[in-house]
Parts: sequence; structure tokens; C-alpha cells
Amino acid sequence: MKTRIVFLVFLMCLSAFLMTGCSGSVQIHERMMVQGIGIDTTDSGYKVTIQALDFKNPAGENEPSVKVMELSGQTLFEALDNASKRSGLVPMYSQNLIVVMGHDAAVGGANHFLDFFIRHYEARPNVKICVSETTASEIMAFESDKGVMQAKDISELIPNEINSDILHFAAALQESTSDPVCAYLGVDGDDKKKSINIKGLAFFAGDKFAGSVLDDEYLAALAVMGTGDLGAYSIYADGIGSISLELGKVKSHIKPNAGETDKTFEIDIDIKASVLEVTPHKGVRIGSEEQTKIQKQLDSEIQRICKQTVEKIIKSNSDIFRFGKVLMNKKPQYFKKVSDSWKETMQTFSYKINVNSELTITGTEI
Amino acid sequence: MFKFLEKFREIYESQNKNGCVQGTDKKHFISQSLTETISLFKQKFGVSEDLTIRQMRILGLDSAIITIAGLVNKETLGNNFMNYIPTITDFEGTPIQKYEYLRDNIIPSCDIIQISTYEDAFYKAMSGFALLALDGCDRMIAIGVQGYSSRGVSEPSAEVVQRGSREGFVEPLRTNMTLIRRRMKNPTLKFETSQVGSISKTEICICYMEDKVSADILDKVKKRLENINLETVMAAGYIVPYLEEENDMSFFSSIGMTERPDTVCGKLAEGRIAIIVDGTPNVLIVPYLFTEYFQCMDDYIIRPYFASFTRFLRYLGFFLAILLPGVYVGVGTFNPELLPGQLLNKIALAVGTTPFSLMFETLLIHFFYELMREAGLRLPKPLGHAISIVGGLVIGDTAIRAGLVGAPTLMIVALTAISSYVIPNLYEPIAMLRFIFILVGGILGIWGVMILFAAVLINICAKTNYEVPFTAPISPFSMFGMRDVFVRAGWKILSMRDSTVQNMPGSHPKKPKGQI
Amino acid sequence: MKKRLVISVAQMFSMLFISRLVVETTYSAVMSEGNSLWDHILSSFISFILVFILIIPIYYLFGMDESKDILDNSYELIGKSAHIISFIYVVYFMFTCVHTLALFKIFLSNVINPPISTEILLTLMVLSACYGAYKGVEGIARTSSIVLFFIVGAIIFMGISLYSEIDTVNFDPFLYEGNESMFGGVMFMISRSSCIPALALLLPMAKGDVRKGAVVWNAGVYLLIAAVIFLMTGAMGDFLQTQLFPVYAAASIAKIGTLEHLDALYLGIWTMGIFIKLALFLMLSGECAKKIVGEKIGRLFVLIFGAIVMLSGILLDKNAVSSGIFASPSLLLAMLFTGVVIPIICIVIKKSGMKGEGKKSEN
Repeated sequence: MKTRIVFLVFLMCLSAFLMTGCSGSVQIHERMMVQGIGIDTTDSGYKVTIQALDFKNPAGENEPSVKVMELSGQTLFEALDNASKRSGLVPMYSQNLIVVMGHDAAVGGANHFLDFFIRHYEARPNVKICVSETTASEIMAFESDKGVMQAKDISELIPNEINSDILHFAAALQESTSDPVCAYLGVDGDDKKKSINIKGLAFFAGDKFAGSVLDDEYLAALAVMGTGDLGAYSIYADGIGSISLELGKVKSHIKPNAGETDKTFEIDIDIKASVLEVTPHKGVRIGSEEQTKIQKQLDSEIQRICKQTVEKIIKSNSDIFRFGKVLMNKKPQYFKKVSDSWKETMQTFSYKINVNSELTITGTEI
Repeated sequence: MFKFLEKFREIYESQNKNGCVQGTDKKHFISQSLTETISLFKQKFGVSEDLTIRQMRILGLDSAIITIAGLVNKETLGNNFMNYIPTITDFEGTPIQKYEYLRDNIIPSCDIIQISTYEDAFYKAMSGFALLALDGCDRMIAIGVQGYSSRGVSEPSAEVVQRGSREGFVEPLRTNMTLIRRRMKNPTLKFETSQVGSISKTEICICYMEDKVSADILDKVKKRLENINLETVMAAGYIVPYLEEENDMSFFSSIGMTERPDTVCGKLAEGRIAIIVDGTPNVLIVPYLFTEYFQCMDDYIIRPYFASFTRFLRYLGFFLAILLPGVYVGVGTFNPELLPGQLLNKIALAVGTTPFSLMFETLLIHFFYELMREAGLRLPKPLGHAISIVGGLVIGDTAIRAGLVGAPTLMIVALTAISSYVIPNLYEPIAMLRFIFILVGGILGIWGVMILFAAVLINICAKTNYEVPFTAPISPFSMFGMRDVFVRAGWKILSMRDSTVQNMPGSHPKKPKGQI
Repeated sequence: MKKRLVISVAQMFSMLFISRLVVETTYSAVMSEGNSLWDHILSSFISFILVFILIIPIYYLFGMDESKDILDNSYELIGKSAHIISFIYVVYFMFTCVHTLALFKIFLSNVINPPISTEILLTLMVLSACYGAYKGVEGIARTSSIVLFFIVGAIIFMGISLYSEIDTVNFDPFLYEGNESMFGGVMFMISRSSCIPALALLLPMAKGDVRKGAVVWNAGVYLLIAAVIFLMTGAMGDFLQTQLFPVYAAASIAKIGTLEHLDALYLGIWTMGIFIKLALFLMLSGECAKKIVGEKIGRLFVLIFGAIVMLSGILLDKNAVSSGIFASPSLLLAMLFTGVVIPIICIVIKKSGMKGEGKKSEN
């Protein structure tokens, strides 16, 4: 009896196996590993430029070929689906590294296509997202002397610290108070020597592109957000000369005041800075007096550009610094009253920046 | 007399048909007539030329020394008995008195046994004893003059250690008993012998420490051994299924097997029972736990931190050996999104150059590997090396160059193969499970692998032998028991408390006297 | 009657721990019909206390005679009419199995979308669970201890990797949008506490300090849930609201050094958890069936129940997991009836019977 039951169960298992067969499986090399997706809008829908690795037709012995395909469709998925029709390979989105929005697509609104990257079972939330200064296809199909610039290399241009990924982008969109922000890429250089660079940050109002912050403003935005290393920054101090500093770890703290008369956001920014170059080299010794001078100069300059940047972004109806969320956490009762008209209310707030830098002098100075 | 012989034959044959002799109570007592005894022996052995019967007169009685050629040491027999006993003539009395006189005063051996049945007489003769039969006596004296040739004690080939004893068990039971006794000079160490196999009548010996073993487990072992109804027992593996639980459908055996006397002694001290089977150098250990597959003698000799490291390697090796190819095939076929990008690139490129699917490719290489392993194992050693060269270098390298198999797959198989040799005693279940996992991974992906793994886990965990959970002390958990599982604690901690098997968590057998 | 001590209290609670964790780590704002997952931290504390209150009747009944489970007590009190009680428990346990399977199905189809048919995977899962149930409570209990080790290890690993991603701004004030979400969470957690009725059958099988075990189990479950919510909210903010299985999403972003794509880890461990839960509840159904049809045929019933659960799981609409009979109110009612009402009735009848006997003996 027992043997029969075991045999029956075995038969059931076997039939389950046979029923499935290997029909559901697509061999790994028959898949097209999508590495980057560029989204542009056209009159009839979307033009999608994808960069994918093709294993079936490798470029070398240990190297897959990089395929750049321009696809179009009325929706993003329709466009993407054309990739398999054209290549005969099944696209795989799990290894996608970057999503580039063309300028027009970003202006049109990210909600029109973002859902695919949240909903699709292969999509991952830590994929980087950015806006192109011009079109997404320019970035995705960019060719340098070495050939097509791979999506991996493009994605590596965007520092992890700035949280320019689907997760943070979608989370900001989901929040009723905050707005998304992401990296802003562009192509620089003349015809002979072009390169893709991270130019700054693109900020959104709702799901729509509202503007960008470049150069010093980019640095200021990062400082207010309190993320990442800010990189090189130069100031001029009387009696010392031009000083190049490396702005390292930055931390920011936002404190809201929502009194009847005092409606302010106080933003404290702590920066670690190192003096790396003083020009022209005149043998000036940087003593404590000079150090204080540099520090003051640095603080005031950072403060100035931060204030300018915050006001610019706020004026564009964008809350990428999550002032609303901070207010909600700290003053929930007050925020409840203004939450429905937060975008208007935030314009009435004043933004006070306090910069506190910690200077390190490198080199021969003691 | 013929009637008696016919009756005896009938009974003997019916016993053979029914299976074992040791289970029956009917014994045939030795006849007082020496002629009858001799003719019975001659009849039983028939044309067999190894039966040697030397008739002579001892103390005025017709007598015979019955031996089996090749099983006795002729020199000992000649010098100590044949040349000496017939010269003694100065004793008068009945045949029984003469028999007793010879037994108690004359025979210069401590290994003598009195035999009163023909069954015992046959058995002892075939075990290398010389039987001394006197006319008019209904009993015989079996004199231990065994002298058959056997392999000398040598290093066990399957359980090599870096440090520690180089002695391994050999085929003769008595030698193996000696090897254990030499290491355990304690009267509580008991050896109980019995026979199994209705035809081969193989001698087996149950060995245990009286003050450590659980009476429940010992009874069960004896009962199960009594129920063995095999005709022949040529190796220890024959009786393993009889020692396991009934209807035990598990890949893993809860009966340990070792070639090392020091390992056996260690286990005996933990309340386990060793079963030595004559004619085989493998000694069985019951009950055996899953974690013991990962222990080896070297662990207890080297420093604890390194022993713990090697333990970790063994556990890792076990999981790699079972799961790695299945997961590789499952993930590669159905869930490539779970692989890191760079790794996926390499695998996809390799698979793209081969004509087979990932599952078929992995199965194929595994099959070839098993084929080569089997060939290497059965062939003489020099040829075995040739096989490994042909297999490893020629086939492996050429297969990749020819684009028949991918390098990552070959590497996975090689890694799996090496991992499985880290725990050689588990090779059989590992090899089979590996094939199943590859099939399931290739057909049902990572889901199938996980579900199957859960089923295998419950198969192992639900196993109980002699009321001791197979997975103790991991589950049921015992902190103290864990001192010799994933890590090997120092000897000061290991010897802190009694660690007998019946004290394992979740065990139910009775503890021996004096134990808590 | 002699107490049937086959498993330890720790093993029993590790089975129940996994059974609750597999369901309670699948919840999301979508499933609990609330907006703020963050408020579920409060829900977990309330549920922690409520579970203690809800297990009092079962514990009290167990305390009256530690050798008897709820069915033994029922048979003793009302004789063969207690078949109906056994039947109710069979239905409840199978109902729980179908619910768990529905969860598995929705996870497969909505989150993973494997190229293999979900029906085959469900069939395999139930078949394996039937095998587990057939092997008995000892096997399941021992397996669950090992699986629990993996689960806790994975959660710690995930915790470490997500800790650096936490942004404190993501933590909203508690009850900012009212208490609806919190109560939704409590309802979700309590209604899915199928372990309470399971305790009614399991307690006499366990050896050890039940009270201590219950405290550790209950506290462990809810602390872990609170910790998971804390980590997920901190690391993912409002992105969680877009996810049906936020823990899976959190696992997919967790990484330590070059180790990434930890969703595979979650996937494997969660599958094992589902297996343990199905095996346990099928085994309990079998135990109930044994009371009705006898020991020998009862064991076979595990297969029959498995087949019913499998068919129901396959035929069930994948979206039914949080609606209709699987909506929180119906789950809560079923749980309260089997886990609280029946034990209370047993206690009342037993108490009145004892009083009656006392009076008789006085007379």
C-alpha cells in the first residue's frame, strides 16, 4: 500500500515535471541584457533608445557586443517590446543600470513612463535615473573614439551619494510634499573631442522637469541636501590669493520655525574643507589668522550660493530639499493646515543658511 | 544411525531454507561415537578437500583432530598439540574423565572452548579452531590455533589523517577487536559476538562500553541484528539496512562506518555501539548523527581554531556540493536577474558558445565526471592516474576549446566535485541529490530548488534512529552539544560534561546506571 | 493521560514564529488598506499585547490538564459530538493553508512572474508540504529551527545593509493621517494570527516553559516586524506605497560591498517559510482528521487535504488574498472562533462539570 502511494506521488511529481517541460525557459544567451534606456518623446509617442548586450553575436571571445537600438511606440512598453521583434532576443531589464530622460520627456512629465520601472517584475529600484540636457538618444548612443560609451560607464558618472535613482525619484513623487531630483547629463566639447559629463541636478515640480542647477548651484544644492562630497571649489582671499579647496563630507540639518511672524527654515551646513592649492605661490604662510580669513570667506560664499540656489528652486515650485516633509515631522499640526497649499506656502517662508566649515591645511603649514 | 543422519539433514536443510541458524533453538548434540562424528563431518564436507581429520589414540581412546586446511597454524598445532598430547598415557578413567583431564590439565592453550553440538563444531572448525574429538565423549574441545593469512594492519585508505594513528582496521574480526581493546583498557568495554548470514555464518561483534551505552539502544541493536535474514554477509554494508529504522526512506544513513580504531574508541566513549563484521575493515557505528559526517580524527588533534575552520569548510563544501549546480542552472535558466551583472555576462557568453542548454550541459559534464570517477576508482592505481589526466586535461580542456561546454559550467562542476570530496562519507547522497537538484533547477528554476531543499531538509530533520534525532544537537538544539559541531571547542570544554549520545537533546532512550 | 511530549517549547514556537513571519512580512500599505506603513510600528505593539490576551483562554484550558489539547477536551466534554469541533478546526487550518498559498500565488504572479506556470509551482509546494506533514510534527519542528536560523540571519544581514540607507526624514509623525492605518495594521496582524488556534493543538506536544516561550515568541515576532518596518521606511520612504511586497523590494536594494541582489536570499527563505507553515497546518488538519476517522486513515487525510488545498489555491483568483473570505474581518472571525470562543466554551463546560461533580460528591 505504502509503496503504491509513494509510486503515485512520484508519478504525480514526474507528470508535473513533464507538463512543465523546459518550454517556459529562455536560455540566458537568447536574452538581450538591457543596460540603459533613454526616453524621448515624439509627436506620436515615445522614441526609446536602448543599449543592450548581445551574447548571441559577441564582439570578441570574452566580450558581448553592445547593441544600440532606437525604438518607437505609443507607450514606453510598446516601444521596448519592439526590441524583441527586431532582434529576436528577449529583453531582460533586471540588469538595467540607467534610465535617461530626454529634456522634452522630462518636461512632459515622468509619470507617463515611470510606472514601467516600478511595476515591471524585472525592474529594480536602485537603477540610476537622470535627465539629458538635450535628448536621451544623444546620451545613449554617444560614441567616443573607443566606440559606443557603455551604459555602465554613463551610470558611473552619477555619484551614488546624490541618490539619483528610481527609488528616491519615485518616493519623492509619491510624497505629497516633496519633488524629485536627479542628475543632469550633457555632452561637452567640440566635434572632435566630445564627452558626456554630469552638469548638475535636474529638479522637478511634481513629475515635470522644472529646471536645473549647474556648476556652483549644483554644489550648493548638494550642500543643502547634505549629500556626498562636493569636490573642488575656489575662493579668493585678499592678501592670500586664489585658494583651491576640496570640499569633503557635507552634512545639513534643516530646522523649521513656523510661528505667526517667523516662518523660516534654518539650514545648518557643516562642511569639511581642505586647502589644496594657493596661487600664485608667494610663500604666504597660512597661520591661524589666514585660516580664519579663508574659513569666513568660504562660509560666506557657500552661504550666498546656497541661498541663491534654494530660492531659485523654491521659486520654481519645487521642494527637492524636502522642506515640507521636515515641517510635517517637526510641526505636524501646523503642516496639516498648510499641506493642501504647501507649494504656495513654501514661497512665503524665508530660508536662512548657516555654513560652518572645518578647514584643514595640507602641505608644509603647521 | 542413518535414520539419525537423514533426520539431521532434513532439519539442517529446512533451516537453510528458512534463513538463519542462530535464530532456531534446535541443536544437534554430538554423538558419543567418534566414527559417527567423523562420518558426519565427511558427509557434510563431501568432496571438499580442505577438511583434515587426523585420527590417533590419546589416553587410550580413539580420537581425532579435525581442522580445516589453511585456517589453522600448522606449526602451533604440531608443536603444542600433535607432538605432545599423544605421548601422555598416565591417566585412567572414563572417556568423560579423560576428556576433562585433557581439557583442564594438558592442553597448553588459554583459547579453548567446549563444544557440545554439531552446529558449533562446524562453525568453530570453519573459524580456524582445531576440534579434538574423543571416542565415547559427547563433546569436543575447540582449540584456538587460527592461523589464516590476512592483510597486516595498515593505514586506512579512505580516512587518512595528517597526525594521529596510522592503524586501520583489517579484515579479521579478532585483530579488529584487539585494535580497539588496545586503545580502551577498560573492563567496561564489552565485545559480544554472534553470527549473521544463514549460509556464510559471518561472525559479527557488538562492541560497547557498559557504563556509557544506553540499555535501550543496545537491546534494539541486538534485536535488529537477530532479525537479519540474509544468506551471506560479505561486508558491513550488507547489514546496514537492518540497523536503520523501518521504512526509512532517506538519502542519508544514520549508521556510521569507519576504518579507524581511534574513531571507534571515541564513539564508544560517547555511548555508541560499534559492530565489527568479520572479513571487512569497516566498522559500523550506531547511532550516528548528521553532524558526525563533518567530523574527522584530525579535528581533535590539531588546534581548535583551525579545526573549526576546517569544519566550516566541510559544511560549506556540503552545501556547495549539493546546491551549487542546481542553483547555477536554475538561476541561469529562469532567474538570471538574480545574478550580478558581471557574472551574468560571463555565464551568458559561455552559454552562447555552446550547443546545449545550461541544464543539459551541466548534466552532461556531471555525468562524464561521475563516469571518470568510477573508472578511476575501479582501475588499478597507475591506470587511474591516466584516467584523471585524460579526463581532466584532455576532455575538460578540449571540450571548452571545441565549444561543447562552457568554462563557467566546467568550473562549477569542478568546484562541486572538490567540495563533495571534503566529506567523503556523504558522497553517495551528495552525488544523487546533485543530479536531482540540477534537473529541478533546469525545469523549475530557483523555486523548484528551494522547495526541494525544504523537502530534503525535512527528510533529514525528521529522521530518528534508536530514538536519537539525526540532526541533534543542531535541531533539537543544545548549546553544549554545539561545542563540537560548527566549531570544535578545546579539550577542556569538550571533556567538561558527559557527552553520550543518549544525552543529546530530543533523545528518548534510557540512560545507563549512574548517568543523569 | 500521559503528556505527549514530542517537541520542545522552543521548537514549537520557532514553527509558529515562522508561520507568523511569512504572513506578516508580506503586508504592505496596499494589503492592510491603510496609507502609512510607518503607523504599523504602533500596530505591532498593540498586536503584541492583544495576542497575549487572546491566548489566555487556550493557556488556561491547557493549564487545567496539560496532557489534553482542545480536541481531547472537547471529546471528553461532549463525546462524539466533538467531531464537529474537529471538523471546524480542519476547515480553519485548511482555510489558513489556502490563504498562505494564495499569498504565495500573488507573490509569484505579481512580483516575480516566473516563466514556469504558477500552478506547477503551487502543486510542488503543496506536495512537499504534504511530505513534511506526513513526516510529523517532530520533523517540521526540527526543520523550522534550522529555517528560523536562516531567517534571522537574513534579516540581520538585510538590517545591516539597509541601515546605512536610512534617512530619518522618512519617518513621519505617528498617526499623522489619523489612526485608521494603525487599526488597519492591528486588524491585519491579529486576523492573520492563525497560530493562536494552532497553539490549542500544539501545546500538549511541547515540553518546557510555555509561558517563557510565548513571551519570547510574541515579543520576537513583533519586535522583528517593527524593526523591518523601521528599516524599510527609513531606507525607502514613500516608495513602499508602490510596492505590494515591500520587504522583497527592500531586499532587492540591500547590498553589502559587492554582495547585492539580496532579493534572491529573501526569495529562498520566504519559500522555506511558506513550506513550514503549510506543512504545519496540513499536519494539524491531519491530527484533527485522526480524531474523526481514526489514527490509521487519519494520516492518509493529509494527502486528501493537501489535494483540496492545492486545488483551491490553483482555482483561487490571485487577487482574492485580501478580499472576500480572505478579507481581514472574516479571517478575524474565524480566528476568534477557533482560537478564543471554542476554548472559552470548553472552559465554561469543564468548570460547570467540575462544580457539578463537586456538588454531587458533597451530597
